[in-house]
Amino acid sequence: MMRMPRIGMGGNIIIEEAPDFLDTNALLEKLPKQGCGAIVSFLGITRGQDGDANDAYASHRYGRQYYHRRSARFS
Amino acid sequence: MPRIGMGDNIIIEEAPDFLDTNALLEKLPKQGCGAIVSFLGITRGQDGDAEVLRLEFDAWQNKLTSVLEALAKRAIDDFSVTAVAMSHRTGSVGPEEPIVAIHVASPHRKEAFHACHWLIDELKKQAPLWKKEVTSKGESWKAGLG
Repeated sequence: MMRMPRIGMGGNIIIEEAPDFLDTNALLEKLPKQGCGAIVSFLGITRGQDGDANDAYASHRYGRQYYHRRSARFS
Repeated sequence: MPRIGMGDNIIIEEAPDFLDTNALLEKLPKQGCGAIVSFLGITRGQDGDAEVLRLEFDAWQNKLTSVLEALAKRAIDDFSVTAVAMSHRTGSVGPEEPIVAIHVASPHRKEAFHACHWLIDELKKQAPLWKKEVTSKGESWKAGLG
C-alpha cells in the first residue's frame, strides 16, 4: 500500500502531499478529535463533464507552474 | 447497515450498532459533481468537568426515517444539490464515535455547504430522537440533540 508523505504537522494541523492519490478517509482518521463534537469536511472531485465535453482528467501541472511564477514575483 | 430509505439521489440508513461514515459516502451518487460536503457529529468525551462515558439515543425509528427522507428531498429541491446521504445512530455511542453523518454532493461547493448546514440544523430540530448522557457523575436526559 502506498504511503502518503506527511509534509507538515503540528499538534492540530496535518498537511500532506498527494502526488498520486488522496486518501481522504486516512487523512480524516489522523485529525485530532479530542473534545470535538463536529467535523465538517469538503471534498473536491473532478466533474466528468465540462459543458458538452467529457473530462478525461484534470492536471494540476499548470497550476503548479503558475504558483511558482507568482511566488518568484513576490520573492 | 440496513438501507431504509433510498431514491435515486437520496440514501437514508439506520445505524443501530455502528455508523460507517465512509461506506455511506461511497454510496453517494457523484456523477456530474465537483463538491462533496460532509458533516460528522461525534460524541465529546467531556461535558464540563464530567467525563462522558457514552450517549444513548432512543428514536421513533419509522418516523426518523421519514423525517430524514423529507429533509433530504427538500435540500435537493431548495439548494439544487445532486444527492444526499444521511444516517443517525441509535443506541449507545462512545466518546469520539460518530453519531450522525450527512453527505451532500453537488456540482459546485457553495450549494453543498449551504445544504449541509441547513440539513444538520433541521435534523436537530425535527428528528424524533432523545439523548441520554451518561457521565462519570451520573446520567441525564438532554433536551434536544445539542
